Amino acid sequence: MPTISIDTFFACSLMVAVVMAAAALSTQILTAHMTDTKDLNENDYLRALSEYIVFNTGTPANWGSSNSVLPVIFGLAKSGSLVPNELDIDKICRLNYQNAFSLTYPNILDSVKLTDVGLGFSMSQIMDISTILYSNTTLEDSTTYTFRIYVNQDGAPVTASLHCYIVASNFLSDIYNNTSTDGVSYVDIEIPNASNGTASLVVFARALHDARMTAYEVYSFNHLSAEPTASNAFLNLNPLNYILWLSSNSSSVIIERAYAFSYKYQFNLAPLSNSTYEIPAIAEKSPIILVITGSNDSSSFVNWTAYPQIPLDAGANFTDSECHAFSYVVSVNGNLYKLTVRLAGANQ
Amino acid sequence: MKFLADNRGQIRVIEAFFASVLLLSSLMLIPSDHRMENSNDETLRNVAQRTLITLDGDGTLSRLIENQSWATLRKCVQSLLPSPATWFNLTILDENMNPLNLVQICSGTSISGNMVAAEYVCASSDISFNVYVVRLQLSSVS
Repeated sequence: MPTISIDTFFACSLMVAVVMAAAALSTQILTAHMTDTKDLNENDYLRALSEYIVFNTGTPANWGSSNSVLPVIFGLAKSGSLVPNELDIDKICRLNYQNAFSLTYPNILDSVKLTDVGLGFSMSQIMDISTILYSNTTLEDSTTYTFRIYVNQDGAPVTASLHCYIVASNFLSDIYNNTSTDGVSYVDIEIPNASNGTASLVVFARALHDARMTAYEVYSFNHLSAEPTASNAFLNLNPLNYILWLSSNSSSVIIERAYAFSYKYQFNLAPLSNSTYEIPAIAEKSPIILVITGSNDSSSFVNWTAYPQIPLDAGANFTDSECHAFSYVVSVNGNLYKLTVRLAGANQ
Repeated sequence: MKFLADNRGQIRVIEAFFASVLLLSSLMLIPSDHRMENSNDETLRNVAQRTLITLDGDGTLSRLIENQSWATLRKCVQSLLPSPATWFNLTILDENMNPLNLVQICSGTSISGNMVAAEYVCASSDISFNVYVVRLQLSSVS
């Protein structure tokens, strides 16, 4: 065999090997690149979609305030608001499945006008409040409860001023306090022993550095009685358009009092009918906690809900599945909340 | 000896080598994924812009600047960022672009990652109507 043939054979082999390696390498690189580009386009598209949903009012612009109106085009922003990033309090309530007037997931998807997108919302307070019953001492006429209240944001302690209301059967009291630099405060509450049954401690915490960051927590406990009943055991509370709608699960429910609490103010709710109460429209930047006390047969109860009904989770559940999440700090009635919109395209 | 002296075919090996180099170097022309970084930068820039707008929504931003409450301003910005895993640095400038904050308003030591900045002009709400340029730099901390 001549030498030239051997050289040609080696040259051809080298070329074939290099071409195959290059083809394999370029396929790998181009596939990854095309996937990234597709993800990039999808991310931009879904981000634009989420911003449209959050910062537009939708159609009709006031679809949140009427329980019979469904949105034609979905949007959460408050109509005519001059406050940046402000959402409508009633549109938020209609996202919460605990509200009797909430939208169903098909309702939301229909109004978003997209069939190939999964959509989910979660909304939470800027600060978290953690309350535990630290100790209690029963005397002849009254019982003193000590609560440990911890205010934090993403696990970091927050210095905040507190306003706590204690609601029990035929009893209402309140107390102001401040958390220390480690975010902790101890609050003593005294309840007369004549008032037994479920009691609730409504805690408001307002960050000292920004009054728009006001959070709440409600801690229910038993006062000289059995375990506290669940918040919606006898009554469902459905706030919408500054009216509180009650729906009873039992015919023997007797309502005693109805209250509205904000950080600074407390009100007795005025009944509009047997099952509706007017919620006061306050200018204060604070969530409103609506509390109903009453009895069912022999047991007294304290039911509550928040207005706006935050925290909430609505729409698709993306647990264990890939999605694009977009977070915003938004304002509802002047108070700030965190909103996360989760979206997934059809290919996810 | 004739076998070793016959080297006419070696040029094909050299040709093949150069062709291989040419082919492999063409892979370098495939664009990198810098557009993905651009998309993330755009998201961060939106966050920075919205944070400043929210902070100035009720006049808090200009009030804190007027009072030179830099520690409070740092807490406010930190609270308003949607993710705690975001590094920030805030700079306050007057209308002549001179820095006003002599202490750093940031969430920690400086980082080496990709950084974006948003600028926002705000005016004090008192009768002095001072104008400030606020520059917020953000970076994702992975």
